[in-house]
This record gives sequence, C-alpha cells and structure tokens, in this order.
Amino acid sequence: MKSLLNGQGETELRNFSIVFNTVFKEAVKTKAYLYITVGLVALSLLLFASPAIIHMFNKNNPDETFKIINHTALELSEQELTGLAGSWKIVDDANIEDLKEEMKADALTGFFVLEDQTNMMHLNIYMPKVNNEVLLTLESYIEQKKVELIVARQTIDMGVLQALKTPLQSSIQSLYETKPNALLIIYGLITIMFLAISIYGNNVATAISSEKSSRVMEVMITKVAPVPMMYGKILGIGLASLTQLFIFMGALLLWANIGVFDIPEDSFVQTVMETITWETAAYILIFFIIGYFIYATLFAIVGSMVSRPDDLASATMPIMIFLMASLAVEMLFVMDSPEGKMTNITSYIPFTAPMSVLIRIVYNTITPIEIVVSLLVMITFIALFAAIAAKIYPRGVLKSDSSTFKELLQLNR
Amino acid sequence: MTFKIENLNKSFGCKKAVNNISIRLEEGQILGMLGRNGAGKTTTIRMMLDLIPKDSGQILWKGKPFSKKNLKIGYLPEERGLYAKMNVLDQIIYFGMLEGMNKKEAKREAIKWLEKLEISYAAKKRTEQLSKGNQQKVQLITAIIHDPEFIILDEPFSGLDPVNADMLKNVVKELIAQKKTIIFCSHQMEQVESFCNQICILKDGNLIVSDQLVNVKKSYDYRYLELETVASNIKDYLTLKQYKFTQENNRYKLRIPRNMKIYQIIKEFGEKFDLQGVSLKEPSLHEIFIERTGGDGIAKL
Repeated sequence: MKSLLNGQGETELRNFSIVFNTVFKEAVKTKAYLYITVGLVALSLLLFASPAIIHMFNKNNPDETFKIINHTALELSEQELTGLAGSWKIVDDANIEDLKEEMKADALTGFFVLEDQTNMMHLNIYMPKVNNEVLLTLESYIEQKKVELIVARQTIDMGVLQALKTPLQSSIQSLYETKPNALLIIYGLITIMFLAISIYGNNVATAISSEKSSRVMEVMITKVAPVPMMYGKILGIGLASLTQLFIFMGALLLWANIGVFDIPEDSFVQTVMETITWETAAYILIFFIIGYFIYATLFAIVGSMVSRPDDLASATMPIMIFLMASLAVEMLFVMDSPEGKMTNITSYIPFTAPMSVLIRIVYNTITPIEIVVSLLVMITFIALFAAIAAKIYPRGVLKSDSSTFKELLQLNR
Repeated sequence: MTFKIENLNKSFGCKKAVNNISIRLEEGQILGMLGRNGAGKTTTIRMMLDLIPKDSGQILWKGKPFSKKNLKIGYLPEERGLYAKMNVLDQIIYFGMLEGMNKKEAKREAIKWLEKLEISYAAKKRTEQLSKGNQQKVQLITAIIHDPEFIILDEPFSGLDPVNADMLKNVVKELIAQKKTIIFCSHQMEQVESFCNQICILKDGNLIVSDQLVNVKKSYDYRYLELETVASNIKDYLTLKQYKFTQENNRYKLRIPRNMKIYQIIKEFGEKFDLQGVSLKEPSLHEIFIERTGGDGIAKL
C-alpha cells in the first residue's frame, strides 16, 4: 500500500489503468469478439426458445391420420384416441391392401388391426415409420379398454375399477438439494468456464508473445513496468471475457423476464431459472474470475517465454494439460459424487478448485467456511503465481529468443 | 557535465558485455554511439533505460540517477515495434499517455506530428496497412511525442527511401536546434558525421574512443591527399617514392603524415604530372570506425 502512495506507485497504477483500458478496448473491437458475443446472445435465445422448438417438432402433426380395424369386442372411441394423438378412425372391417395404397398415397399415416386370438389380443401394426409415442399411447389405451371390458363382465365395484385405472405416477428425485437435471447446468457451467479460460488465457499468451515478436515490447517496457503491464493485459482481456459473460447472462435474464417465451414446468430452462439464483450467479462470477486469474497468470508467463506466437501451442501445452485434466477430474469424479473425498480434495487444489466449488455450490454440498477456505487457498496461489511472474516476466519479455523456465530464473539471479 | 556514465560494467555469464565504460555529454549535445554488432551499445542503452540491471557503475543526469523519474526520455529502438492491428492515432495517443500525457494533450500532439510528417491521412488506418517508411515515422512520433529532454535514436533512418530519410533528418535537426540531448546510434557514418559533434566507439564492450569528433580526427597523425590525374605512370612513381595509397579510377588517395608539408608534395606532383584535381581530407569517420573496430581495407594503408 505504501508503494502505491509514493510517486512510482502512482505512476505504475496510472500506467496499469492505461494498459488495462487500451487492452480492453482493443479486445472488444475485434471482429472475433463481436461474432462470439452475437453467437452467445443467439445461444441464449435458442435456449429459451428450445421448449417451443422441441414442442413444435414433437407435437403430433394434425394431418396424421390413423385407422384401426377392430375385430374384437372392445369399445374403442375415435374421440378419445384423437384427444391422445393424431386423428383416428375405427372401422369393423377394411381391405388391408386398400389401406396400404392409402398409406403410399400419404392419405393415411398408419393403420392397425386388432384381433382376438386364443387367450390374448393381437395388434398388427402397419406404419412405414414406427412412431413409438403413438404406439405406446395406443397400447396403453387398448390395455385400459381391455381392463374395463373384463371388469364390466365381472360386475366389480366402480371404486375398485377406478383404483385399477389409476395410472402409476413416477418422478426422478435428486440426492441433493437441487433439481435432478441440474447436472446439465453444471456441465454447461464448467464447459463455459473451461472454454473461457482456455480461449482468453491463450489470448493473453498470444498478446504477449506477439508483442515480443513484433518488438513492440522493447518500446513498451521502457514506458510501463513489466508487472503492471502484465496485469493490465490479464485484467483487460479478463474484463472483455466477463463482459461477454455478462451479456450472455443479461440476455438470459431478459428472455426470462419479457414473458415472450412460454417456459413449461420441469423444462431445462425452468431448472436453470430456479437453480441460478442471484447468490449462485455471484458465486459463479467470483469463481470464474479466480479460475481465469490462476490460469491467465500462467499463460502470461508462458507468453513471455516464447519468442514467436508460432511456438505458443507447444509452450502452453502443459497448462492446457492441467486444464483438461482438471475438467476430466470434475466430470469423472466430482460431478458423480459432489460429497466425495475426491471432491473435497479438489476443492482446495488451485487448478481444480474453481470448478469443484462451483459444482458443490450448485448441488448445495459446501459450507460457507469451506468456500472461504477454498477462496483463501486460491488467492494465496494467485499471489504466489504473481510473485513468480514478477520475477520471470520482465526477463522473459526482454529476451529475443525463447527461454526455459529455468533459464529465466537463472537470469534473475 | 549533465549526463555521465561512470565505470559501467555488465557481464552475461562469462561474457563481459560492457567493460568499465565512462561517457560524458553536455545538455543539448548529440553523441554518436558507434560500434559493430555485439559491441555493447544495446546493453549500454538498456542499462540506461533500466531495462537490465548494471553490475556496477552509475549513470547520472544532473547529478541524479538517470531515470524516468528525473527526466523525460524518448527511445527509438533499433528493432521497430508497433501494434499492427491498432489504428495509428490510437497507438500514438496510447504511447503518449504512457509517458504521462493526458489524452487530450496526446491527441493534439499526435495530430500535429502526423501532419508534420505528412501521414495524417493514415491516422485512422491500422498500423499494418502502412508502408515500412510510414510505420517508421509513426515509430519516431511515439518516441518524441511527449517532448523528451533526452532522446535515444537507434538507427533512425534504416530502410527509409531518400525522401522519407530527408524528412526524418529534418526532424532530428529540429530536435538538435531545440537543444535536446541526444544519443544517436547508427552504422551510417556519414549521418553520424553530419549530426554529431561528439562520438564514442565501443568494441567488445570496451570504450575505445570517446571525444569531440574534431579532436578524434586531429588525433590521427596522417591526412589524405587526393590527386586526380589521367597520367598512368603516377602509380609507378608513388610506389617508387613509397607512398601509401589507394586508387579508384583516376583518383589516387595518398596517406600523408600530418607533419609533412602538403604544399611541397602538391608542388612535387604538379611538376611531374598533369593534375585535374587536388584535395586534402581528414580521415573520415568511416575510416576511423573501420580502423578502430578491427576492419580491413583502407585502414591498412
């Protein structure tokens, strides 16, 4: 703090803010940024429109017509069946070949022949493309009518009949205090986090190595101290990334509140709206920033070690392996067992903690103290990485050839 | 002296990059810093700019450490570097602001310089869209936009066409007229001779020459007498009389000890040969440089 108050500290702070502002403005001005942002808004729109789209594709086409040739004593109702799926016609007899011709001419979607056989009923299905939903509805309807017929013949009490007709209700229950399909939300969140860290982290490394290869670093380094410059870049690109995330979340909030979209109960979108509360959103933001910071500092160090952007792919490989390994650990162990030992351990390892803690927050399996401890661990590691970066970065950016980590540490001595 | 480098040392491992050099320069003067590649010029400049730590020695400006804290410094590095995707005006403003200017002031100065160097039409273009010469102009503007007192120009004219080179030379002349203190590094000796009244030459990290250019030239115990003649037998005569000379077409360049009487020599040749031209020359900086830094050719005369 004291250093911030003296002249040099003030200059560094001022230069940091100039680098930060410029990097942010330059990042958001690129076409790639614009396209990704528009893509995210479109994705949010698609997410909210998805129930309607799914409904549109799944609902039975009103033009779908079915016929049943009923050779049994069952009393089938065209009206009841039409209410369930498509439009139905029930006939006592018909020529099967004629009906086949009707199907070929698209005048009929399908037809069924229901007949009595010894001790059982048999349903012959004629459909060019079997529609399981229609089939299940029809089978269930016939079963019900069959029971009704048997009961009528046995003169059973109406109460018993009603009890027999009562269908089985089933629903999936979660082990944790969250919606069962919250797993999809977690997949979405950690995928977004993985993509954002790898894309924006790589952007940081690319920006730094490009400065080195274009020799602009030689000029910059005389104007700005290396560490404020590095953090100006990390934060500038980070803010650009967060702006995109905010636009995405803002679009989601907008679609949720304007009332244009009909969101069915128990749909994924409904679950998202119930699961991502303001509190959860705040945690997502915090852990997104922390996760980004941990990896972006490493990306910045690596960016300062290579001399050309072409060398970045191989140089950033170890970080990408860390990142992918973290994602794999989350998907293989943490998501399956949000209260397990592995989950507890990974909540305190800086590379996995941002994702692990997020998962536990969504599943509600983490205490506030655990969140605080995990945050402290991550902040400590960020400070440690920053200290290492402060040692390596100034040497790395001035070396015109690529350097190893060991070489840069030796140069420092 | 306003600017002083005293007993400056820097080693990289076993290699001594800068060996105990001391340089002095008055405020408002221009120093030509010369040396072959790897002589220690860039290392010295980097130590001046505090980009690398010095092993020992000090660099002072008016008795205080030479630092951005105590004076405004402008630096045009040998390796040019600009943000290729950034537009020209934003880039100049950005660099100006990093030198302590506010945005308004930086913009005003940027526009002024762009107009002066006749590239205001490119203000809104991406830097990568500019020709190499125009990029170099932008680079120079970024180095001097904040009106520095001390300017380091490392090869400012390399790769420029004659028109652009003249334009930038005028800028340097203006800076000299404004009494800016300048360190001018170049391998183009004619330019150094035309701008600098003081030079220093580095070789393998050692300072082998550091003085006023006129004194350096006077310190040489010979001068050159250039004779122009179509007489072909002059060559035999020069060999017979054991003159050290070189020939270029009809021109014969004789190395004459400073203590010899030039008029007598001219008279001697005038009587024996039909001379079309005679001129007396001090050793050029180019020759001094080659001789001092271990080159071959004329220096072997």
